[in-house]
Amino acid sequence: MAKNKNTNFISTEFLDKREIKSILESANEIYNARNFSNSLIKNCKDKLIFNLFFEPSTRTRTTFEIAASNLQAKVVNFNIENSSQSKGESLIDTISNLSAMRADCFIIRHKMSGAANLIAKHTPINIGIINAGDGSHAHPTQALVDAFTVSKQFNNFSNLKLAIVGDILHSRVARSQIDVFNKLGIEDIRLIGPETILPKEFEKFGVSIHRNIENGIKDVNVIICLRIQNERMSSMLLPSKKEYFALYGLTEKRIKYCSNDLIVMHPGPINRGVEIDSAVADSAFSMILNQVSYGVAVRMAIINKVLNG
Amino acid sequence: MDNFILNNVKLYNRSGKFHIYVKNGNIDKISEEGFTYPNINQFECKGFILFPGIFDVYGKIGNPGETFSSFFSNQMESASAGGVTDILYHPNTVPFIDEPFVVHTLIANAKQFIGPQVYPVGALTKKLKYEKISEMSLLSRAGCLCFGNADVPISNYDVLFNALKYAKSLNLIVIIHPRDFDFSKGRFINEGTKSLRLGLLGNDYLSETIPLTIIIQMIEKLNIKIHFTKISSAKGIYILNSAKSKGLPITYDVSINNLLLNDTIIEDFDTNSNLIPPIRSKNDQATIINELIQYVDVISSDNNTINDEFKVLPFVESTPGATSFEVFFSLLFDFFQTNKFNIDTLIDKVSNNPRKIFNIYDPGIEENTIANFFIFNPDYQWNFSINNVESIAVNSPFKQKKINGKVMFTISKGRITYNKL
Repeated sequence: MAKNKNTNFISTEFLDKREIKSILESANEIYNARNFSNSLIKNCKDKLIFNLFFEPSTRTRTTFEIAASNLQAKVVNFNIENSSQSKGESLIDTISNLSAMRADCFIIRHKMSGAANLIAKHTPINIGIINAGDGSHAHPTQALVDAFTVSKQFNNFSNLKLAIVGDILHSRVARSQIDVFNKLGIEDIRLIGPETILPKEFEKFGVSIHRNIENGIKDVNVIICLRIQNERMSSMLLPSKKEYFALYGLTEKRIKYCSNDLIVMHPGPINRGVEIDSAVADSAFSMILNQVSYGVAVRMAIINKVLNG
Repeated sequence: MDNFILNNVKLYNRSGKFHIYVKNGNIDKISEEGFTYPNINQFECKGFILFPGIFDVYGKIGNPGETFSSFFSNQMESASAGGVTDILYHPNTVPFIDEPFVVHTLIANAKQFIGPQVYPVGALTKKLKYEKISEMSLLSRAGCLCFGNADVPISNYDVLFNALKYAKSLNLIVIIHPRDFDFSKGRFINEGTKSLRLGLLGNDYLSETIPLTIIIQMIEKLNIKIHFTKISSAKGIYILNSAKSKGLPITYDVSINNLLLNDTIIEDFDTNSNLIPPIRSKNDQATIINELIQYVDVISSDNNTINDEFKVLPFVESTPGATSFEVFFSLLFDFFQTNKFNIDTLIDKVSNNPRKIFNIYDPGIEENTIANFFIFNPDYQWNFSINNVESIAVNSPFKQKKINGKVMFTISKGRITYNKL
């Protein structure tokens, strides 16, 4: 079987609108199903899936594991701390060894941008690759989870106003979200943050840039808060969490500027009192836990697509 | 020293075809008539062009401590296969070129291999750490032609200033790659749309222009002659051109990578494009091309062959560098022809100007001078792959590209170093 964009899921850049919608529709069928259809399970049953998380993860890793289990695939969780990687084995040698164990799919999380692309280049053509987040590059499955979440609340995308607030520069999620929401037809996508974590050049990706949160979230239907990722900051880009919250934290007072049908999302983990106030995170506007629930269905749809083309 | 005859070869700066008799490594006769000397190797060169040997001001061969390894000798062969007859050997090696015995060892060992004449560049500061200035006088006496920082980022301008003062007092030539430590740390891709899209930390042109601006002020104060190497940004070019126009004793080079490429070519995290300095934007490349003829003094190969194991890694973890000796002149010849630039100007930038800047005798292509040239077949088409080159590895943004023209023969200081005639 020739390797093509359907057997890898590295970045949303390889998906067009039709393919994104198709995944969302599949996810919806899965989410609504009381029992998963025989055909879906049959095609994935006993397939060997490696969860290769070279970086810590809770939600993504767990939802992938549940998704794969629901599909009756065999899941092996790769433990980096006990692996040959910790003894100095190269990434590609590790992958080659796992490939030799007749893997069907690798789900990869890695701290380096481009790691999933690199692994895909050095993996036999019959093994699918799913990128579960690489450095600051891409997190395609999370972007589709978020698109699914929006689709569950709104009938169409085209009239929506959507704002992403936070550390865009270091966010793999934001890059994939921008791509997906652009393709789904949202014409008003706004990015909000200071220049140090939101370079002006992002304007070239079909979004508008806002330095003032009150202006940026005015009349929006969707706000996606991003975590302030301390571990990704190579230098001091912000003076303090306290100042960030004062300038950009999502509070009850601020969401009054938004549309009445507002939903608030966050890919997690959240930092209460930094990017979002608890009163908002736990409010009726919040879709944060819904995103986690939807994550299983969306990832089942993606695994099925990768394993079966 | 070698004896041979080249028949029907063109000289790059003269019309017609010539026969050249090289006797004991010297050009004995250049004639439009053939020679009838018996028992001397004769090489047919119909359609080929003879150029003066390339003086590469920035091309890495290997480490002094590896001079007996196959890598060092291989890169000497690779340089020869690219027409390089003379090369500056920069000090960011293992060990650093900051002790006289390292210079002695390097020179002695380099002579044992067939290849270009190697000119050691002494480290301006000990271990290139910008903590202590090096023993420049002793290093110079040991054989260092000039002093520099290779491409190690500048972390202390006070120490650098003292090193320049000291070099000036000894009347030494300095070559600097302007790269700021703080602005370049962990940043191997040009800051811009591409770096944002790929989620890689961008290297801003400020990493080049900040040290340039500071060092130019040092030059104004000290009136020291400095050659800046591997300039990559439009802003950097403008700063240097402005300083040159004021009459400051400045020369500079650009690498072939920054002249011929821009960051739009970086696809799929290809680590062959991980270079120092990074391949910059279309605008930066366009400025380099616009200013090439009038202002850019030299073009360097920036050869730095990396073993595959250090390239098959995520982009930021891979080792920067590209193989370029063997495509250097071919790509430039093609580029100059395509843009209708004078080939004499190309020779100025890869051969004549470097010799002037670093005070190296230029034998030219004249009778009774030592043979130091290469022969080029402009019609030879080939693919840049491991099977078609001498280099032990090929990691290059030009990898697998179709190349027009190939060096067929090189003689350095009267010794044949490469021969495919």
